[in-house]
Amino acid sequence: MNATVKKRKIISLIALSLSTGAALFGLFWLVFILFDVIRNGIAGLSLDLFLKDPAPPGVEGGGLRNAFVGQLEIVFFATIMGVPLGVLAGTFIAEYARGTKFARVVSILSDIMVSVPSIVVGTFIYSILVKPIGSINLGGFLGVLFLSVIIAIIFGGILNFVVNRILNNISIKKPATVKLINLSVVLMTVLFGLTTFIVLFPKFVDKIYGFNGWAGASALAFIMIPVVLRTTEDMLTLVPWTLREAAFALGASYYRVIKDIVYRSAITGIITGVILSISRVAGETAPLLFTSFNNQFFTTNMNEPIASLTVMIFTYAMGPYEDWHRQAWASALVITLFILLITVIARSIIHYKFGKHKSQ
Amino acid sequence: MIEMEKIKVKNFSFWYAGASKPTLKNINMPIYDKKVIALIGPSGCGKTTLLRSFNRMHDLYPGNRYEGEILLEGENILDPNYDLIKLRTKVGMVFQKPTPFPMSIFDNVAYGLRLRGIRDKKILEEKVEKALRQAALWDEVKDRLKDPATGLSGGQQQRLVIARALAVEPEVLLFDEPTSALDPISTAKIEELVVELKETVTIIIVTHNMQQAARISDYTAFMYLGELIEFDKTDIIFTSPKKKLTEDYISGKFG
Repeated sequence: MNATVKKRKIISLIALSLSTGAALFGLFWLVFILFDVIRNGIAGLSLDLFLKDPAPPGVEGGGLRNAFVGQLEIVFFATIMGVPLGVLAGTFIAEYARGTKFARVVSILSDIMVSVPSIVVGTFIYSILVKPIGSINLGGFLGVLFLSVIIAIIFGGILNFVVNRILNNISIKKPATVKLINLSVVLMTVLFGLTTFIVLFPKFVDKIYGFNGWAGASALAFIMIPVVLRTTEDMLTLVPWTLREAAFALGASYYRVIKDIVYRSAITGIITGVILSISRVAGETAPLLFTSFNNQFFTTNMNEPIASLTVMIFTYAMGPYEDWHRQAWASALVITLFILLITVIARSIIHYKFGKHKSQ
Repeated sequence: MIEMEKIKVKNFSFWYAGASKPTLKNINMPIYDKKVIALIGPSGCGKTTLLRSFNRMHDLYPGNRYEGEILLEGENILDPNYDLIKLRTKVGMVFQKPTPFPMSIFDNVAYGLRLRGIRDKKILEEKVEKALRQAALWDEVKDRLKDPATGLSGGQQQRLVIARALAVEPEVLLFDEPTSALDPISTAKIEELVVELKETVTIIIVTHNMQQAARISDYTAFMYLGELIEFDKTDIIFTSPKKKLTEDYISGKFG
């Protein structure tokens, strides 16, 4: 009896020390890296880093203003492209296609896509958006298409708003007439979009060619989409089904149920997912190497190669100059702090939202 | 005494998607105007399925099949061309668990009205107040209409949901075990409310609680294994049922 207790205590002690040891080992390197980044980074931090463009190779001084601006621009456009697509796709999977085989397949595929190495995404985008396929400049084509769709959506939104205002005022109540008017709004939007495309195509198709910022943003968006899709899906699935039924019982259409009830219930979770996906792509280097490439000069033109902080760190760290290394460290510190900040924001939103629920 | 028939269920059968046997078999019953009708029976007898047929909730799930007719004021609501928004305006529903929407108390009650295109603030305020008064909730929430509805207690939430259903001025209200998630005091309030509401609307209520059915309903339908066994005035069902099965259930021999 006594011997067994003793044996158990010894086993417990061994298990405890092994797992504590493993945790400490992991923590050590984490702290070590962070400490190293902070120690080396603070030495290189200066106002010049944010306000000046790179000096010619070998010349002391200069900064990375172009890279900071380029990074923000690429991440911004990646978010604009990736988030709506991810949220809408997640909504389709969780709502309209709920429980179907198709939804399951898309879910599993996104899980796989989340773990695809980002350099693969980079080369993929390179092969379709950067390198011309034969004589076709697909990047330019898609760019103009995307632009036309955005313009058409804005046009359609305004038109719809105006038409509905007028309809409300002259109080047409015949469903068939309203349907016809709505249909013609849709038709006009589509026609408008097509016209925009035809007008813009010859003017802009060759503007986007070779390495360019859009390709970089697309690569990052490509990484964001499955993350946002899965988070959205999970968050929407958490909304109790009876809430939807209650809205249906009041005569709401599925669109209204999603817009008014489901999104409202899940909004915090979705926003958190979006923020986390931004922090996920903000530190990516590999997908940008083949797409937005790099630029020693300041530019905000997304049609050209554009500098980004991560690629700059990569280039500078590999470079031969002491000054470059210092700037690379400083940039590494800035980007680490940036990602830390948005992760903390996202975590505190989760805590605020779900921590409160627990105490109720 | 001749009662006016609000709804008439005629040879009604119902199949869930993929099921070979019907869940409801050849139901025939009248629903009298401005009365409380209770549906009772053991679990799985189909009373909730029947209740959810009155506002075609089953349409949300593909593959469910109806047969026969449910006539609301003479019109067959099972007709695929029957306008669902119109149906769900006329027939409101309250669920087992309170289902407040994630918005303010006011917006919750106004939701059905806004769905129907009412935007005028004055009309909305009037109708919301009327509905909240009807649901005996006005005095408790009048000073905090802008607060989130999820902050209310369970019983208040359930009355809020009733107010939300009442706001669009339905003619029939369906209750699916509305008090099974509530404490006795909140239950008493809801029961009182149901009795008051039959002045203006017809009420169909599914309940597991036989005392509740006896307390608040005018008519009771006893269902068993998808069939309507007996339908009669509540006092007759509870004192001198005609069928042996009904008597056994009422007296607690099974179920």
